[in-house]
Amino acid sequence: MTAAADVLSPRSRNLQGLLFSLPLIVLFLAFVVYPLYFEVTQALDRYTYEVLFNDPIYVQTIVNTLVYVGIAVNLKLFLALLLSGVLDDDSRSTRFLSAIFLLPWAIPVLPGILSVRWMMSSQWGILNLISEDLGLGTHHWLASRWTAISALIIFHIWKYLPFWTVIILAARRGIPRQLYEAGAIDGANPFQTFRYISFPLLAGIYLICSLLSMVFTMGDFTNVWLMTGGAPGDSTHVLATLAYRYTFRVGKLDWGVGVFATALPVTLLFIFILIKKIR
Amino acid sequence: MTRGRLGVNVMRAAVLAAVTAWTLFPIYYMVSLAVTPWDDLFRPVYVVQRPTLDNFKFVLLQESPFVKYFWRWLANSLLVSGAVMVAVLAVAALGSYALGRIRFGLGRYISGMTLFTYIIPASFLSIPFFKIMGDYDLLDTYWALIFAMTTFAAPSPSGSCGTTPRRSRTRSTSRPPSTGRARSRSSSACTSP
Repeated sequence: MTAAADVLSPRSRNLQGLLFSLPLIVLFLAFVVYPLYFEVTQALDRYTYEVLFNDPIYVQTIVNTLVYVGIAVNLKLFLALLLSGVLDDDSRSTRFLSAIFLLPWAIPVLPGILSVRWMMSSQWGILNLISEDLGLGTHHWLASRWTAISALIIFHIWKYLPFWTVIILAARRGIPRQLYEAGAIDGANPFQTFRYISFPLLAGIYLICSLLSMVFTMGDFTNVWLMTGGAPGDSTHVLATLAYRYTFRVGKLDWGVGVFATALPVTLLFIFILIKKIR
Repeated sequence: MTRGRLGVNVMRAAVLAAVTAWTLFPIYYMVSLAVTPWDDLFRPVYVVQRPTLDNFKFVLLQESPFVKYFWRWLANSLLVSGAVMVAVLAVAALGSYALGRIRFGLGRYISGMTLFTYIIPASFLSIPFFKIMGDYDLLDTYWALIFAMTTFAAPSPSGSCGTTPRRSRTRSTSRPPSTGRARSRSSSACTSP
């Protein structure tokens, strides 16, 4: 704390603080509060929901989003929890592999998805070459709903597993060594060490990561749009891509807003839990 | 004891090998597609037969309608990202000073606000964005991009994730309580889904 800030009265300190954060506040009001206000007022129209709930594509989209978020996020974080244990090691080789392992996170989404899409192409993709050489025949990977969604989940894990592994690894590094030493003296096996030392101390950060990743993934547009674009036959949309389709392809802005509005209560709830937990 | 450790090491090595292959395969494929000649693109192979750099020439010299404005697009990206960088630095430098050093009563709310901006998925606001950028008369300008990106990029370096003192949860005693700057470094990385 600076000396200057100390001598100020609480009131002028508030004023000073507000002045310094004024740009943040202006951006927040103009580009977060106002859009949200617009979204909510637009979404109050009952007719929109009658249309949405009677649209089979909308219902399908909700299922897709739940499957995508539920499986991708939880599987990814569980793998991150396990993998962070494997990478929690200072040897030169592990550090080198950790660096390689971070590459997908550093590579932009677009080239990654182009690679995977080409890989899964039913005519000239390498995946069908492998599958055929293994005697499993060829498949139209992206041409049916559930294999396309699986491809999405797999790409999601490939791309974002490194990031969350690093987060959980950092939390792991913060666990005092003495606890493990005490465990070793008591004769704990690796599983017991994990169950009674690592996991309880990682549970808090694991929960925060889950919630955060769920909120982020619920709004995912880029990955889904580039991977399937909703195809085949609008069966693989998630919230964001469906809203885009309604707004810019069908030309119904209120339907697009309505799609997000139906997910807003859950999202806001998660966000408030997160803000409470993080602070 | 030694046998157990050997088993663990073998398992570790197997896991690491699998993870490395999983990580590198799409990257290998990406690179090999980039050096595949046009004619061979539609015949799947494990290893590229006649690697070529023609594809790069094709893009850099803008030799097709698909990449006709490559340099222009690159300049757009640089312009927007450069402007966002400057704007974020300015906004976040002021904001993080306010949150980290002034410690004013309302700071709680400001940091909650930045945290909220940071967490809410931008796509949820994207459709209203299209509408309000029209209201602000910013459609089809660089400014629309710059404002939108700055809004979502500024909160995290402002230290939204933890400039206010908080109870240490899973943290050990190994790290002394730090000021906003050190904390926000760890949190500023959380920008992926």
